Amino acid sequence: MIRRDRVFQTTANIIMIVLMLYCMLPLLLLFASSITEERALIVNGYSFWPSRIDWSAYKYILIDSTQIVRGYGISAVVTLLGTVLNLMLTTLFAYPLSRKDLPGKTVISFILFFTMLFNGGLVPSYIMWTQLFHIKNTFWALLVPNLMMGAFNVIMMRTYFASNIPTELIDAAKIDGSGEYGILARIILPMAKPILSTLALLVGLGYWNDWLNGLYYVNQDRLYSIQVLLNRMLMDTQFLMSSAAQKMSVDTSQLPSTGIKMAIAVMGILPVLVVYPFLQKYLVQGITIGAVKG
Amino acid sequence: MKKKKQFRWRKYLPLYSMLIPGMLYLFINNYVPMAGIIVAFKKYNYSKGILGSDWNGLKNFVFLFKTKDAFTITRNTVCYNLIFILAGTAAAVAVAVLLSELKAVRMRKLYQTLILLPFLVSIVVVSYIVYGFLSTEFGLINHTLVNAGRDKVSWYSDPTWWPVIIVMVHAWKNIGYNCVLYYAALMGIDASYYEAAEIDGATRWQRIRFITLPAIRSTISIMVLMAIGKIFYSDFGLFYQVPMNSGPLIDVTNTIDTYVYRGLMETNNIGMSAAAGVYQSVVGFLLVVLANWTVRRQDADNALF
Amino acid sequence: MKKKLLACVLTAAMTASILSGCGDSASTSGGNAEETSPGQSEAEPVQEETATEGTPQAGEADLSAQDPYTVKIVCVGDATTEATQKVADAISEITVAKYNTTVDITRLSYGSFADEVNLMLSSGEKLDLFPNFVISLLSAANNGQIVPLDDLLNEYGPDILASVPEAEWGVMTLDGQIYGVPNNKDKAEGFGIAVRTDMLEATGYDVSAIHSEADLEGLFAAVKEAYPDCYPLVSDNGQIGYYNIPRDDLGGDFGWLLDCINSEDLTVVDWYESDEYFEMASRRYDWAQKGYIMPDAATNTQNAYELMAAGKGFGYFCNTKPGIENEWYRKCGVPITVIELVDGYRTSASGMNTWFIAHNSEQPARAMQILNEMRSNPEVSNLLINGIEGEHYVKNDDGTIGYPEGVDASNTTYSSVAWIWPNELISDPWEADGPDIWTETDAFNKAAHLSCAFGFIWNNADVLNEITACNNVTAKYKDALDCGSLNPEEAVPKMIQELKDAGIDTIIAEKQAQLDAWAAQQ
Repeated sequence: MIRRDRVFQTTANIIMIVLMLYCMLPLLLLFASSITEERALIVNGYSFWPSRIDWSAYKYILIDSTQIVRGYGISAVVTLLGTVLNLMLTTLFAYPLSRKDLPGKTVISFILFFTMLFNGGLVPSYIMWTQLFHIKNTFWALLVPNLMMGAFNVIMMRTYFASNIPTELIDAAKIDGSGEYGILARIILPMAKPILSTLALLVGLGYWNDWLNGLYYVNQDRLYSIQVLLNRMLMDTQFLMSSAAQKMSVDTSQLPSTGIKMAIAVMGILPVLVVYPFLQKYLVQGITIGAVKG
Repeated sequence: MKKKKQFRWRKYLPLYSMLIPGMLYLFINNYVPMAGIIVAFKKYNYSKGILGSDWNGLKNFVFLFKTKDAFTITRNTVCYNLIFILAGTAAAVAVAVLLSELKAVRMRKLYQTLILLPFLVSIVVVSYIVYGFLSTEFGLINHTLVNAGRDKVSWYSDPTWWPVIIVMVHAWKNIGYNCVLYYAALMGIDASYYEAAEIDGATRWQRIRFITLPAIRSTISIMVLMAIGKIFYSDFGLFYQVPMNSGPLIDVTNTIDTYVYRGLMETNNIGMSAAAGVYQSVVGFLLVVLANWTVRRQDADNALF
Repeated sequence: MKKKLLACVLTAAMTASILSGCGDSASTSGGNAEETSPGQSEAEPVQEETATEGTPQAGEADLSAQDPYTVKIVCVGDATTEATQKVADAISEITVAKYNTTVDITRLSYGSFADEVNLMLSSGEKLDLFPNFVISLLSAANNGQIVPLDDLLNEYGPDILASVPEAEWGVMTLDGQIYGVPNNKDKAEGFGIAVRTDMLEATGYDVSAIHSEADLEGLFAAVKEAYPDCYPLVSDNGQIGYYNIPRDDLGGDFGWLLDCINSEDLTVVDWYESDEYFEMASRRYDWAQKGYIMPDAATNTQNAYELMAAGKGFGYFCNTKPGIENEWYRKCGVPITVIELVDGYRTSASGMNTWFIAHNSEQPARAMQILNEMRSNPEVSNLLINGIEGEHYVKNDDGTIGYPEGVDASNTTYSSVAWIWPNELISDPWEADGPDIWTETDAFNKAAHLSCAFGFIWNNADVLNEITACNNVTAKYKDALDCGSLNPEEAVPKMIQELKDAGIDTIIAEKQAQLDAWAAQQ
């Protein structure tokens, strides 16, 4: 039995390592080409081992380092705040829906799911957020539109509650005299750690990676998050490379080279790799503790 | 009778109150802008606004069905999505179960984080990476082929391999994401079930088959249902940027979204692109309602709504 | 119940405001549309106080007594918010004195300009002036994004009217109304090939006999022999889009005049069905087979100049204009020779950069005053293009400008994108282009042959479905055929048939009809 288990563990580890390599090798190529000298790239082609190492792509991006540092700062704040707000909204919405006895839960679920399929497009959203709520060029623009609560996450959490939390537990708490909010804080949340930490991760990534809000609702550089900065560089390149630009005699001599495009991507991923393992632990703890106390 | 109903209402008041913030957000963020859907039926004129523009009947929809491309793009969109749903779900569940069976906690965390990383890379950058592998002249794969004494392959002008490449890239980018969701569901399974199984002397396979899988069945069912709703949509970047918009590959990479983009790039017609969106949503909606109804008849817990 | 009612009212209010594109501005723009749609010159001036002001030539004193107003200008190019604000302040000093108008400038990035401006136009956000970058006059006018300018020009654009040649207004006209003000810049286009001077000299090939794309064959062969690892012709990010014939696409889309300067023939032809196209595709296919064109040219992601700089490439096609060799030298870092293949000529579309007044401009008259100033006042033009003296540039003795110490193209806070602004020819030239660049540009424009259909642009509004379908067909074949990656014997007939299925004949018939109607009026 134990030996069989060891065989299984080894096999499982091997499979996971293969999968990990499959996921990591392309990223390694990304990193390698970001530090390969441009000419070496053209002459020798792409390779995991740069024939000539050259950090100038990173130097190019970091020319305006205050901008970059501010960008990271804004991204960090937006990600933290956004994740907390999103999880609060999501949990509050998911819990009642997970209760099998709640009248009208099918209709509400439907209303929720409907938003995943139908949307009125960017124009009406933009008109509403800018003209009615005046969020253009404010911090809220990065936080509120589209990212505060998504049907997908609510449905995932609802499913988790419904299938992992026994109804008897809730009934027992009711008999003890707990109110619904008490049940949510003292019983549901502590049991929801796996889904909370997972959704925190996904929501956090969503906020971290988002640049569309920044693109549409912000055009002042004091509010550019890191992804907006990086993606603007990337989009400009992408655009100036396209056929439309060829007709326009844009001077392309300042275009970022391949190395810079790759470096841009690395700059977006690196912080997540560094910060995530620490953050995940504390974020989930913080949310659970805060809920219990509050 | 009436009294009883009132009583129930009051009992659920706290639960309903929890829904208020979310409902408000959905209302503002999603439902109000939905009014914009009518643009699909209008000849949109900026100075007249959405309401003031003239009605256009179904004219905005015509371009979607005008050519024989209509068949190709629908086939491509649906087939790729079916593969993504079937293979993607199977792979993600398998990896999640495998992860949960691992004993070394540190390694588990490491795997979990690393396989998620590709999800972070924007699709434009993914296209550069893929190019790094597949470029005829500079690519890693052709380099390896030449070193092994084989001929170069002109990847971007030969459609043969592209269905496989698209699926591989999609898997690469998304497996971590999907896997994490199933993994969370697995982590929530009550440990006492496993202890009981251990005492009964159940094998690992029996444990997985009779405890683990049933416990995440509703998660799987719901994820699949949600994917079905999006079956007429495609990840634009995956089908446009990653194949480098290469002409010879279009037969196997053209989807509804890329067709709309290529067609409307220069004319910039909001009505026509809204029409495409409506078409995609309505079909997805009908399919998901049907699928949901089927699931619901089996087990209401596994249904979306 | 009360709650329900409240919700209903709320919904109604929000929905209505969204659909109408927000209250105030929508009604303003509605007003504009009413005033201008009859297209009569006696339409009421858009603004009341100006109506009482008498003749437009009454002078600057009158205009400086107008109510304060801010004109919002949106343009492209890299610049920090702070630097742009400084430029706007400097210009405002001039415009307040003259018109009591301040300007507000926002520079958007290239990649998102079209999206962002479309959103601004749809939401009724403040916006007065913007250039035709990516947004074409045709679609902007058809979609009601911009206002007709005839009356505004007559009243507030005297300097513009004085300097724009009569023939050019035809190009700005749709359905009898002027919608744009053309930029003053290089307006002709010629075609040539930019090649590495060192390699060219090493081969010792005599280029004086090269007058067409076909003539390049010998040169390419010589280069290939001398530099086996180098591709004589490379692509630029997957494209070799230049056709090197004096064609006129008549305002875009499908159906061209194949030789618009040597013949007066106004027959619209399907370019992809023509013998010329087949010949070109066959030639490039042959070149690709011989190794003259890089493999994978249709999907290459490198810029042509990067390939040339690295010695992987020898040449790439380019537009010819004054200063083009210098421009390429700056990109490549090695000396470049440009061999001319087609002399400079002008079609309606070539070099067409224009400025528009947005439909949601609250006071189009004031926007026109500022546009007039932007196009005619060297000081304003210089500020818009080059930024603040001492900060973004310094003046040299010969009248050119250069970067101040410690500043270069990669770190300047206000990048200079001259051609997008209304009048680059009255701004200070950069030292890299030389002091005479603008005189040369002017001479180049004047020397250019005019297309026999000059002044005509076509309106595609009625055949959008066909165009959408045809664009999808060319996406499949065009780049690959241009780059010689596909055998034209097989691909061209397929492409022609698919284009026919997609309705290209309808497009061409429509274009021909419009062109004939235009010609009849001339």
